[in-house]
Amino acid sequence: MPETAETFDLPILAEIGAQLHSAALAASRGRRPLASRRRWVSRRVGAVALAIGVVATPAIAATELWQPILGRPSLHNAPTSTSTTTPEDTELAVLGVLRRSQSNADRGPAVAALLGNLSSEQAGVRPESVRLLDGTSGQEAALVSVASIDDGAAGVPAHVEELCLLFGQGSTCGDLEQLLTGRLFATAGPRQLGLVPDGVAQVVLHYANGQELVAAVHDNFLAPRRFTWVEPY
Amino acid sequence: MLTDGDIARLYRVQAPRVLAFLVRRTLEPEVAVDLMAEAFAQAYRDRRDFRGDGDRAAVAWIFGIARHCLASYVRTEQVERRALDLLGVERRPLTDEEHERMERLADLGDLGDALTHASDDLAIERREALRLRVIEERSYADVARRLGVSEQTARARVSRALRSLRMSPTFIDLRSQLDHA
Repeated sequence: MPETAETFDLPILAEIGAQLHSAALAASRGRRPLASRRRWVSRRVGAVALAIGVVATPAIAATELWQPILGRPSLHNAPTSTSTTTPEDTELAVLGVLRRSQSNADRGPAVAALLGNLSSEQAGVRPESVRLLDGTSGQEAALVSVASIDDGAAGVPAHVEELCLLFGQGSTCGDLEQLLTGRLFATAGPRQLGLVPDGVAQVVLHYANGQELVAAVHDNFLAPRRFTWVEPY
Repeated sequence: MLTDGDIARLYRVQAPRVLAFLVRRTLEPEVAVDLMAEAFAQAYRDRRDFRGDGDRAAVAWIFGIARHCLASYVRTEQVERRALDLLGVERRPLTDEEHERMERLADLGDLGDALTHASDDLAIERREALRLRVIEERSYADVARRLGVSEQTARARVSRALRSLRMSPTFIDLRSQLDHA
């Protein structure tokens, strides 16, 4: 099949783009470039899996308005507003899962339940940005882009342009810098899960006792299914 | 002036086009990727100096940087990495699949006849490698088997042959045609 620039989606392009952007962001904030601190792994296989996933979950027409229930309105704990704007270009540039079209699964019952974890601290929740993560493993989580989060702490400004991971036991949110520096992770009971930028196919989790766990990434998301401790602390 | 977000958006849309532009001129996928990366690294570095207005001007600016990087490479036979080094960006080698897809992007197959004529001056071993790979469209594994060399050597022979042909008048004319196709 002939290649055209319009359909040219090599993994190396996404990897370089993510590196360039994170390094430029760090440089503009007066910090050391990140490239030497991150461990990149080829994602040839991951890219194939992503392509299959996109084919298997047809996109919903962009004109079809979706107004899911966010938070728990019956408990007066729901986001104060929603937004129809797209996530920041800087987020789209490093998260392929946000660049793909929203699928039926992204609007399905599993995600509807997870959206109940949003709260009144959040404003400008973008329903069109909601994505189901790892929908085939039974370890579902959802990603949603949020314009601002204000936890009400005195003297602390609201966090803007956050990415929230919603999972069964709760949620965690972080900004682009946290994503790019490997800090958009959460531990929930026996589970650990996290969001990583394009170009990362595997993440190595290092534990205090020296053990390591290699977790595969799908759709910018990792959630090892189970742990086997081989020796105690 | 452009923002980080503007460059990120430009990269998403234009990086494949810039890469196609470069691989058709260098005929070397690894070099083309490096030049593309350096061009966008320079764009990030110099984004505040951009004085144009609108997307078209920004795209023209990006391609201007890419042309400058290409000219520097043609002149020195080395890829300038100043902006990439400043940002600390490194990349892995291309996979075989990526290498082959980039060759397809460069439309090397369409250059078959031109290559037949233009390759007369090449050393026999390089010409044969080029014929098998580009004209007969054989895999590198097959080329290597037929030439009795390793796949790496076969790839190097094809790469060197293409590099030798890059500045031939026939090629310059064909590159122009491809860009306007």
